[in-house]
Amino acid sequence: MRETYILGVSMTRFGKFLEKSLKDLAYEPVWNVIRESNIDPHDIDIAFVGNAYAGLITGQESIRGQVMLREAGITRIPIINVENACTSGSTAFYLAHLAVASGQSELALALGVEKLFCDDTGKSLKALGTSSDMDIEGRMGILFAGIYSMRVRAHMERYGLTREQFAKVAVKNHDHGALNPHAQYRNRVTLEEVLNSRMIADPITLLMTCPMGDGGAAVLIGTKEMALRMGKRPVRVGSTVLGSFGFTRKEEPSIAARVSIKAYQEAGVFPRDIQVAEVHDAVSPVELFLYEELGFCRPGESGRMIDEGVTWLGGKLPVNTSGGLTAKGHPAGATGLAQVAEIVWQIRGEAGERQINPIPNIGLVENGGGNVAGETAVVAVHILIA
Amino acid sequence: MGMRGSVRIPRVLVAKIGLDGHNRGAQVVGHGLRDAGMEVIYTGIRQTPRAVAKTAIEEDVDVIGVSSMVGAHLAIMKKLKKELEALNASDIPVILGGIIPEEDYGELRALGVGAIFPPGAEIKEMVQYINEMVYPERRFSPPPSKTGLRAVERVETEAWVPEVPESLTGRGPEELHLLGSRCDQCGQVYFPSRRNCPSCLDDHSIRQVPLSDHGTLQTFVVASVAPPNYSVPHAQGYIDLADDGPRIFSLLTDYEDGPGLKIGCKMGLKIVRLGRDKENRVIVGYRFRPLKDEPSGGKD
Repeated sequence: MRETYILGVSMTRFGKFLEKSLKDLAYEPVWNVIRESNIDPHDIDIAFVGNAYAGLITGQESIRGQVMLREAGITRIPIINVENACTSGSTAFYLAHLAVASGQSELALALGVEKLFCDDTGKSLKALGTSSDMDIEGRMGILFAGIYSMRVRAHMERYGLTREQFAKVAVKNHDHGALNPHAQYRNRVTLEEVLNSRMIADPITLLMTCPMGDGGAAVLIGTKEMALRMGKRPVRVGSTVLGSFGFTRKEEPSIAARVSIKAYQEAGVFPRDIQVAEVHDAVSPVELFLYEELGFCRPGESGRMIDEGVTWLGGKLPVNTSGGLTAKGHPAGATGLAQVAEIVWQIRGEAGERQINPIPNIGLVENGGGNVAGETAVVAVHILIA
Repeated sequence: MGMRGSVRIPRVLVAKIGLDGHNRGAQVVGHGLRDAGMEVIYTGIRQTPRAVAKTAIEEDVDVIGVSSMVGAHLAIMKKLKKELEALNASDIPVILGGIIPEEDYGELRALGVGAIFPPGAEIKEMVQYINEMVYPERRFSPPPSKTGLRAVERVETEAWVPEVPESLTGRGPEELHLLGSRCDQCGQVYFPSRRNCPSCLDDHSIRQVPLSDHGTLQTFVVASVAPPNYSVPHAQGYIDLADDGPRIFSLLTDYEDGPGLKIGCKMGLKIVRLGRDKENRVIVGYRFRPLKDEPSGGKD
């Protein structure tokens, strides 16, 4: 397997764009990455297109990637449609990396697009609910905020994390989002506002949850030569690991821990080497659990990390400088690639007002999706290295 | 089996003996019994009476059901009886289905055949017969009915379908238990019942087991929002079932009165009726509710 490099990265602003089609949301990031990468678009020889819910929301169930790329003019080459719930974009990234690493392709496009807003919120919520086993948990009205809330309560019971600590994560991510022109929400919020916003699933309040969103993101993956020709700081894919749920026994490590251990091993780095991370804060308390599962701290110590400001911009390990899912937004299929874009911008010193200083060299992305048998159905972890 | 909340699942050997390749009937019956929650072992065609008798002992079945379509029923029943006696297993009941002329019924009964199911017999008759044989104590016990009506006949024959496939077993909607699978190789227990062990990746050692009707609440949520078609508050939890059972996801009910929900509190199974499907079968689901204090109580 050869080394692969990230060329251009791009995303639309995330938000509510009822007037924009899937094609509209694909066009902008696809052509941004083509222009940025300094390549001939005829050389793109494979495309992976991540999307989770367009079939249920827009009716475009089949050949979504071909349809989305039609307007962008990317035709003829293999276009592979990828669905892995909220990890669809990361799965497209994983496959694009494999295509180039294996030598089968030279230049691979990973695209993720999602339109969650439509004129019927019930339809959107129902679509999101299909990211579970529709024969089992899905029969009992699975609710992702509810699933997360249950994890939060079990964790609070065991380690004594507080509501204030969970709320601080939302405050931090909204602070970061305010600096990100791509973010759905660019307003800051106070601790009191988070704690006093509407209760969704105790202890999770409205401002601790990510919004529904529309958006697109794209990444081009190519060879080292292409990365050098591009002229920007080369960013190598240190590792990209994808894993699925297991019937995990009560004291076994969770899926995020399992997948990240493999990602660290393959990249040859340790958790302490990570200088910036984008993680799947679908609800803000989960970000704290991820600090523990990804090895940034010991079990039960994540509350202290947020209290001490370690993961804020300016801290030792800034997490979700983009605003995370809670502030930047979460158009499911686009999320994983938008996370990659943020890490690449940070490593290239292109993150604008939210740039980490000094510029980081090693970053991590964690992206999860769906729920089966009490565990996240899919988790992807990528480690990107300058 | 002693423990409250545990129930033996009937094990049935469906057997074809001799040069009789007409296996469709045996397979239909086998599937029907399995769908009714029984464990079915099918011998395949062209077995010897000795092989069937040995299998019955090795598999520890509750009943042997022989299918005969070619008129050899008297001969094979005589041989099977002999083989069972030789193996000291003549206590295993034998029943018979297939093309059996009525004039042979007397002789077959004399050979110890417990029941005969000719063409046109319905699966539910076989299910009822086997259930009554395996649970003789229930045959005469009064129904658990609050209305005081004698509901046994209605309950036993009322067709039902579980909300979650492979999740429940029992005689009818009023008397159901959670159904899981246990891998005898690694000891892991799964819910709902499944075809293989995802840890050992092997389907030899997995068997259906009834699960406890109570456990402890590992975590829960009472959400103020709910998916379309569900009411608020929407309460869900994970219950660690007693007797080393698995952790199961369930909607929670009946928590508003009394002590309420608390991590670690005792929870009991509640079977609920959720309407009827297109074939007019009762859809039954499982829910969990907090128990007052008696950890083993399933009913109050």
